Amino acid sequence: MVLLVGSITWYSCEEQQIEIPDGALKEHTVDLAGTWKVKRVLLNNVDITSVFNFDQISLTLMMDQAPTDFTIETGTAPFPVRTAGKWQYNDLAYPTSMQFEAQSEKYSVSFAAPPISGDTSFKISFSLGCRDNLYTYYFEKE
Amino acid sequence: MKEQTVKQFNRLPRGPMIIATTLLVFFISCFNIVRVNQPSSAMIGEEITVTIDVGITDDAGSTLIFGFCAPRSWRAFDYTQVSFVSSIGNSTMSLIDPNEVDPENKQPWAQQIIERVGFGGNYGEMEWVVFKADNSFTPPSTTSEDDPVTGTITIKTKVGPSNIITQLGYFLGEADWGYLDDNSNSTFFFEKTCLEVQGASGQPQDLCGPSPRKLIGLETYDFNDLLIITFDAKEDTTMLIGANKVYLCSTAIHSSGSTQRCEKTPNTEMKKK
Repeated sequence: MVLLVGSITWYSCEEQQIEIPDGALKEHTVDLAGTWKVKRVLLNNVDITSVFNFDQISLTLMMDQAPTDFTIETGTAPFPVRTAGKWQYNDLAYPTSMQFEAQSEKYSVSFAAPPISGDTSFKISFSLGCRDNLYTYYFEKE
Repeated sequence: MKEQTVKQFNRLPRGPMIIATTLLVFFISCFNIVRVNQPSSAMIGEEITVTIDVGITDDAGSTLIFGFCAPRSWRAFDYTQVSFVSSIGNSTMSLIDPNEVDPENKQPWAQQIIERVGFGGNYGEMEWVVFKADNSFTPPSTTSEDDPVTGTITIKTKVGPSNIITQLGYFLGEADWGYLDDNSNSTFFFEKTCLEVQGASGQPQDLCGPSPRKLIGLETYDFNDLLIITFDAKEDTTMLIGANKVYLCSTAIHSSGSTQRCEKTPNTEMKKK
């Protein structure tokens, strides 16, 4: 019985020879490098873009293969972080959140949709004060 | 009882339809609230007494249910005693078990009264507190419109610690049959004159008036949140109806006093939607 099982396994391994092209399984870091402006804002799924000047926000993400530094201008508009620092993904190839680190403080924000490498937009969701209030920012590349 | 009422209704000419409808409401109810004696004002923390004269016109049911509609801030659950005297017996009444359901709809009494009766002229902040008779009495079989069981319910309650204007409400039902869907074995009454509680500092909370304007849409917020204050002149009768520009005048109250910002500048101009 043991011999029989062993021979079947050996046989199936022989048949499944798949040739994988070079680099096909290499994961690429999502590229969000560039300067981004807020084009649309939702607060608890209500569009509040027109009731506040969100044009004041300018986010520049820098990358060198992986995320490195960022700069941020917010004016009086709300944003989780207000000074420049370092940033990173929770996963380089399939990130679900990004983390800003400035003045020894870390701020994590979630992607509201999976970001697409090299795309001209991405959106994040975060809470500022109460957890009940969820802000969603739609960024577009400047 | 219902059959008799319908016959009477059919016999009536079209002219006095409005009067007949009013009478119908009285006829189909096993309970008639004859008179409510309620003070029109009280001082904060004072115990007030309300008496309700009742007539029972049917022999169905033996255990009285009584509901009291009061501001939540009064905590009537803790500070109310109810009893009754009647031509067939006297009893105290106790808070009903909140899990006790009525036999008809299998739902807690207070929940059903809120859904079917509401809170009268109060815009909110009220609750129904439900009591059940400690002793049951079956009305004699001869009980009718002409020969009702009569009684008086007495409520003693302590009014709350703040100035408030409120319309109190009363509900009568019976526990044996439950809260029938056609309301034929229950009745309710909201005292037309709102009761004013005085004695604390500040303006009274007028539950009988219009509900306060909700300025901020968020249910909860803190200092980091973006607060969007909305104002619609049409919601009220103000001079601002039709105004081209509206400016916000605001006062922040903090531990070291208050700060007011009341200027006509682009910074305080409200954006049009």
